[in-house]
This record gives sequence, C-alpha cells and structure tokens, in this order.
Amino acid sequence: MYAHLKSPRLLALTLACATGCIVGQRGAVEFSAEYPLSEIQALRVALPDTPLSVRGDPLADKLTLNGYWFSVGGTATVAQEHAEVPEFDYDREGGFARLTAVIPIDLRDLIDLEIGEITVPDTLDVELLTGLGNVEVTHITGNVSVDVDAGHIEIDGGDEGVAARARIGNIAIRSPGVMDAVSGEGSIVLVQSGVGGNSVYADAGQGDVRIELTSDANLNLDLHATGDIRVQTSTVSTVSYGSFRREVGNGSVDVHVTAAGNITVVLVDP
Amino acid sequence: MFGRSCLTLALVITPATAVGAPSQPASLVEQPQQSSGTLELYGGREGGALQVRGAGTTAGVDLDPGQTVRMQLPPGSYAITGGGAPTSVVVNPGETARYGLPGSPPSPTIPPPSSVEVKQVKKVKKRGPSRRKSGSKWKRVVAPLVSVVLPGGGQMVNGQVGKGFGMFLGAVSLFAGSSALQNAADPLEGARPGQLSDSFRSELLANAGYGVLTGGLHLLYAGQILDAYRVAAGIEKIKPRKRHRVAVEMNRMASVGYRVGDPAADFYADWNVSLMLQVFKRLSVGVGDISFKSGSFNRLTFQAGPRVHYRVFDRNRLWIGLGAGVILQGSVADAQPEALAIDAPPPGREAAFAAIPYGQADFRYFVLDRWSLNIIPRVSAPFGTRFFRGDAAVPKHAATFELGTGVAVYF
Repeated sequence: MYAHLKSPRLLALTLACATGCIVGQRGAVEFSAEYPLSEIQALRVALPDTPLSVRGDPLADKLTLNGYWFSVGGTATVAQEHAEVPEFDYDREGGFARLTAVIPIDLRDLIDLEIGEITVPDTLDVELLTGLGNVEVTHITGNVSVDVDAGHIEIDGGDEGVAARARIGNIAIRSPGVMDAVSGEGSIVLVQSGVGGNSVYADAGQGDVRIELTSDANLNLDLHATGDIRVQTSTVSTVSYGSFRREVGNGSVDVHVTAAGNITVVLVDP
Repeated sequence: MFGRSCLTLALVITPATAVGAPSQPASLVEQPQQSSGTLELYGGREGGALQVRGAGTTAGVDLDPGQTVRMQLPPGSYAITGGGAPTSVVVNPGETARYGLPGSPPSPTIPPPSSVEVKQVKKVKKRGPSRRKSGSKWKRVVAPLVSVVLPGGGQMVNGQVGKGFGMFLGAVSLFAGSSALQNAADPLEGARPGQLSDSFRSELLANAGYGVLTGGLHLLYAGQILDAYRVAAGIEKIKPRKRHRVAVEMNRMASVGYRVGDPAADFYADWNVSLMLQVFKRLSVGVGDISFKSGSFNRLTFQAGPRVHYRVFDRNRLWIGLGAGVILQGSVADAQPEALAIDAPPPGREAAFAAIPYGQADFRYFVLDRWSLNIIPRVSAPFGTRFFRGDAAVPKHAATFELGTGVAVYF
C-alpha cells in the first residue's frame, strides 16, 4: 500500500501531517557543580524527571554532580537559549541541605534533566525524589530514602535503614539495615546483608516479592499474597496460599509482606 | 386513470380547502363557507400541472385528462400558471370561478367529474417544497439519546439496524484501536539514562495513528447522534442555515510532534469552544479557542482570542471557510522551590503569557440544517510557550500544523 513511499520516514511524515505536526529543534547544555556539605547530616535531592545515580565516597566532603540540560525550541537558537536557563538551587538549614532545580514556568515542560552521577560522603543520610527515572544508590552507609513516580530502584547499602517507594517500577535492595519497600506496579527483591536481624517490610501492589534473610531468629512472619507463599528457612518451611503467619522466638524481627503476586522468603548465607 | 391525480396545497397565510366534485364521497367535499369562493379547475383533453397563487395562498394541482378539481379559496385575485400564458382569475365570496386546460368545454358546461381523488395534502413552510416526512415525536428525543449512550443505538431505534450496527462496530473499532495505541507506550521509557532518540519515528507514528483514530471517533460519534435525530424527525433534505447569527463550535485541535526527553514524540490536543457572530453575509467575527487547561506544579492556563472568518464556498451541504486569529494564553503555576528557612516567605505564583497567531481553513459538512461536522487544518507559530493539556507544550517559534475535528451549531 505504501510502496510508493520511499522510506519509513516519509511514511511517518505523511501520517504525522494527516493529524498535524510540529517542527522544531533540540538543544543541550552540559553542566557540573559542587556544593559544600560541612556540618550537613542529611541531604535531600529533589529534581525533575531524571535518572539518578548516587555514590557514596568515603573521601568526599562535598556534593558533586554532572549531567546535561536538554531542551526544545522552535529554532536551534531558541532551543539552545532554553537549555541555558535552568539552574540548581542549593539551600541548607541546620544539618539539613536540599538540592533542587529552578526552571521558569514557561520552560518546565520544555526542559529535560539528565544527571550523570552524584557523589556524596558515604555517611550522609540521603533522600532522593524525582518523577520519572531509574535510581541507583551505592556505598551509602547512612540512611537512604528514595521516592519516584516511575522508575526502577536499586540500592546497595543504607546500613542505617532503607525506604523505597515507586509508583511504577521494580525495587531491589541489598542492605544490612531495616528495609521498607513499596511498589504500586512492580516486583520487589530485598536481600539482607551482614548478620541480619533487622525488620523487613514490603508491599507490592502488582508483582512478586522475594526476601532473602541472613538470619531467621526471632522472626515474626506476616505474609499476604494473591499467589503462592513459599517460606524456606531453618525454622519455618511452608508452601501456602493467601496468607501465612508464624512467630519464631520472641518475634522481634518483623517480616511483613503484602503482594498481588507470589511471596518467597528464603534463608541465605551472610 | 384517476389514481395518479395529485393535489398539493402550500398554505402561507390563509388556508385553502381542496374538494372533489359534488358527486364524490362527502368526506372529500366541504360546504363552501360564506366568506370563501370556489375555484374549479378542469384538466381538459391532456391534463397537466397548474400553479395557483394569490391572496396568501399557493397551490399546486396535477390534473388528469377530463378531471375536475374544486378549491375553496379566500376571495381575491389568483394567478394560474402552467396551462400556457398566465391567467388571472377573480374568486368572489359564494361564487364559483372556473379555469380549464385546452380541450375544456366552454364554461359553465364543464362536466362534473365522475371521480376525483385527493391523494396528498401537505402543509409546508414558505421556503420551498416539503423536506420532511412525518417522524414520531418520541423517536426524535429517544433516538439521539440512545446514540449518546450507545453509538448506533439511535439508528436501531429508527429501524435502521444494519446502519446502526455498522456505526457501533466502527465506534468500537476506533475506540479499541486508539486505546491500544495509547497504552502501547512504555511508562518507564525515559527512566533510563541516555536520550533514546532512535524511538522518535515509532513514537511519532503511534501518536499520529492515535490522533487519526480519535479524530475519526469524534466525528463518527457526533455524526451518528445527529443522524439519529435526522432520521427520527424524517428530515430528508438538509438546507444549511446561511443566514445564522451565531455559530458555536466545539473542536479538538490536535497535532503530533517532538518533545523533550523520552518519549521523544508526543500528542498535543486542545479542546476548545468558539463563539462566532455572522456580522455580514459570509463574514463572521468572534472569540475562538476558549478553554482551560491544567498541568504540573498546579499550572492553570486560560486561553481565548479574536478570530475573523469568511465563508468562501457554500454549496449544498458543504461549506468551506478561511479564518485567521490569535490565541492569547495566560498561565499561572506554583513558583519553585520553597525556601527551607522557617521564616522564609512562601514562593507564591509565577505567570506566563503567550500569543499564538494562526490561519486556518475549515470544511463543514452539514448533517442537519443547524449542525455541521467540521475538519479544520490550521497553521500557527507561537510567540511564547504554548501549553496544551497535561505536560505538553510547544516552544516559541515552533511552526505548528494542527488538524481540528468537531461540531458546530448555528442559531
């Protein structure tokens, strides 16, 4: 039918013009920045849609980041002008600091941020907020909190505790601390590291949950699933369906899981 | 022979009564009123069609050879045409005037007809011949309402089962297709690092397909509701209201194009209302593109703007027009970010303004006298950022070709 069209691009253009089309150009500006973190114990990074990769560095004493501002404009000149407008806002109050972006109202939907990497001291408590973007956190020994609308979350560290929320996206956490993960649409994998003994909470609105424990002492298992429930530890072993409750020892270590899918809890070597 | 006889009366001000010969059944004969007179028409050797005009009455009579038809008419002078040269006849109260086609015996020896059949008597409006069959009143209400709820249902109520089923299937297919295209997008596209510009072409195609399908669905949905009413009301001939005062248009202007980040292409839609006044023959001015929109950061956008429109073509049910105007768009949104300090003032609101001049053509196909389905190609280039629904925005100086679909009603 479209044999007379010389290329798929022409086909795309023809179809686009059948419903309208917009002509414009793209622009980009590379950036890098540093912000002091002396006397700062907790850092919040709240940015527009962007993937985030945060790495803890034992030798770092400041926040460093790099990346690109992308933009669109009616002409190449306008697009480049747009890309040069946004800037970061670094604010601090006591031991708390916040990094965010300032974009004028008329450019908010015309600007896209893409962070390359953020480096912070590894002992810092870190809170990450964005809309659309995968988040990866490594080598942070402080507390880690991540909240995204859509994106996969991977956290390795967070010895003082990890909390992760994703409206859409999978969550994978490996931590010796308390883990709390909620995914509206995605699977959750929580892996204890170290000696274990910390509580684990997971809620998967639409997906499976797998939990790997390094200790099964004093467990308080409270599991609810629409699919299978499989528990395989040295003290508890079951295959069930719907819900399962079991307390081991004094029950001081909570393993509370809700999943619209399957739940698997296993014991692994530390 | 007499079965083909046909009498049509067009009553403008004063009703006239057509009667058969005195020898006919009483139901076809009325006693002359004292204030009216009688006009007797004779078909002669070959019969023929006559037009009788005068005293606020217009009547068309088809006479068979040898047939006689009597009409009760208000007194006055009547012009009779169709039997050769126009003839003037005076009808006096209580008297009978006669007119005969060639071959008629001299008056008053016109033989009374043995039989006259009045097959059809219709009342029509002044503007012309009958355009409407009798339609049941309940169907005029029920059929379009059913079509609102169930596409094609109104046609089924009207007894057009096949047509209604076809419209239902068409609407379902368009809806399913557009839904599939809308949901085909990966919600996590753009979450990964890197600009995946290689997906632009496929995203553009998907959005273009979505625009075509939803535009077709809009026209089909509106059209089948109006068609249900048209059939229920028995309207056979559509005569667009050229002399309307006000036109209210409800349109969706749509386009596809690039966007920042991933996905690299987006669908831009702008639902709006326009009010146009016809100030001179074919020329209209008014306010177009009236709409509210919302977006991220509690953004609220209001738009409207002046438009001039001229109808360059109007033949039968199709109108073609040209228009030009400016969309004036104002937006407010939360300023960002809020300062951390306890005593810091709140950030307040931030405002933006854009002007979008445009030129457009419009193709209007009338499905009722006062209702048309519209297709509107438009070219524009914004001064300032133009906001659409959600997070869609077109940057300044971006040449934009939109295709609008919608309906208009004329008063």
